[in-house]
Amino acid sequence: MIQLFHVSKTYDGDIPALIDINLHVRKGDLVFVTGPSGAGKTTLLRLLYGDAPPTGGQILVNGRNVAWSKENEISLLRRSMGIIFQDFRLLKDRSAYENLAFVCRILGCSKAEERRKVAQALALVNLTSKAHLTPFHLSGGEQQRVAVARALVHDPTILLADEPAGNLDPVQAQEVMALLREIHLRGTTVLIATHNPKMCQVGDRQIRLEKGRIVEESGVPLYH
Amino acid sequence: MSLSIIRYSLGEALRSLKRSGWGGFASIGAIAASFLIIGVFLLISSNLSLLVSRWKEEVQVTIFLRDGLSSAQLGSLKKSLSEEPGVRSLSFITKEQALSDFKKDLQGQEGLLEGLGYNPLPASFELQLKEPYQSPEMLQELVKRLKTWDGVEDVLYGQEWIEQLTLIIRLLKLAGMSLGGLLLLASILIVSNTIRLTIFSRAEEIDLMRLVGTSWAYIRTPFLLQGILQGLIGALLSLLILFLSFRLILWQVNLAPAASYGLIQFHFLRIPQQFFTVIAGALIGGGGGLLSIRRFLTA
Repeated sequence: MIQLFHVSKTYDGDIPALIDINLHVRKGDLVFVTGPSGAGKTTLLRLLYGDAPPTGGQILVNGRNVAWSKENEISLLRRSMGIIFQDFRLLKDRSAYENLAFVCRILGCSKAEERRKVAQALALVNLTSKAHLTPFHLSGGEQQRVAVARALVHDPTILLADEPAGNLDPVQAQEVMALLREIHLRGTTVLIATHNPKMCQVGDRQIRLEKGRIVEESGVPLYH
Repeated sequence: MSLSIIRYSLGEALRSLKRSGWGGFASIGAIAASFLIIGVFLLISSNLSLLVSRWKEEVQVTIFLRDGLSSAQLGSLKKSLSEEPGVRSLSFITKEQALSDFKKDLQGQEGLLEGLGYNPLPASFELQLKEPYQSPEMLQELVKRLKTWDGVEDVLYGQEWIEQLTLIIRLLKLAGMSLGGLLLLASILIVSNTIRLTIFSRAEEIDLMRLVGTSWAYIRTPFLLQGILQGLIGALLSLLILFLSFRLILWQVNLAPAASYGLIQFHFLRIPQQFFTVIAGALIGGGGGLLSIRRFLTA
């Protein structure tokens, strides 16, 4: 599903963010990318959703070479993905429902489809009763759950989460992580970037990045 | 581009236009003002052009004759004049007819001529010229030649001021186009700035749209349409103001005697000119939109 071959990324010509990354994520995997700040976790995710091109190497996502993809191909690629950020990135002037409906609308869903999908996604994150509230009236954990619902509303096959619990207290963080595990159990391939190893459980596949290199992998052997 | 993109973009563009408040108003106002200035100059110059072309058709050369010419000399002169290639028609005005016309022109002050005791006005030929011979060069050449003819006292023609008027019309057009053109350039920047502010105010939405895989065409089109709409509305507004002002002025002018005798007839901008204004408005607005899109909505 996701394959990286000798991928490197350098910013501003000479600042290396990723060095010779080789990675294989299969359909339905749950993968934690861990490491301290500046290790290259966010860069790795950005490369996967085509927000930045790699400096070297090849990236295959759903059989599509991201490094060679044009603008419209990147757009198509992103339709198969859900992306979650540490800062939620919700539309602050719209209700939880509207935040999800917006995505359905711009992806061309019919009204009936929009209502059904939004209701399902909000039910999944247990926020049906707060659908009418704007982010201002929701706690951090609830906002992140809305963001998770938004990432799932168009039924993506891959979910990328960049520090999804970074802005949350421990209880809320555990709730969001439990939610992501549940989504994984439903068959979605999930990649979670986190600086906090406590978010991982024994047996989880973990890839540890340091200074742009994979220094450790547990759960499944390194792909060569 | 699919129908859904157009429908969505149009809806978004209208919403953005409503939300843009004073910025949108300024953009539309700037475009309207620019086209209004161009329109005013164009209207004045095209109406003057019409007048001039009508006067040109009536261009007349008056040949004043020396007193005491015999009928044979007059006949010979008339024959020579009618053989001139540039002459369309000619008429002979006797001394008596010239005096009688002059008296009519004086209207109630005929007494001024009473003490004179003799008729000081010369007989004359009035020539109407064919179109190709109405140019200043041809006219001057003809007049120069006619002056050398035996029996000719003087030759007068009213072309010089027509030429001056033509020059003034050209200058008016140039001034209108330059001033309007400059203002239109400024309008593009104002539209661009308004759309830039809209883009910034919707940065979160745009970011989200990109993340869920919305195509750039889908993201950019509403902003382009917003610019085009501003341009269209501005241009239509300028035509409306221009038309209402024109009718108002025409109403005032029609009270003047010259207009009531049908001597002066004004016309509004022709349909192609109006059509061009609207299209140009859309292009100017679209140009402003495109400028912001290229600067702020790129991968």
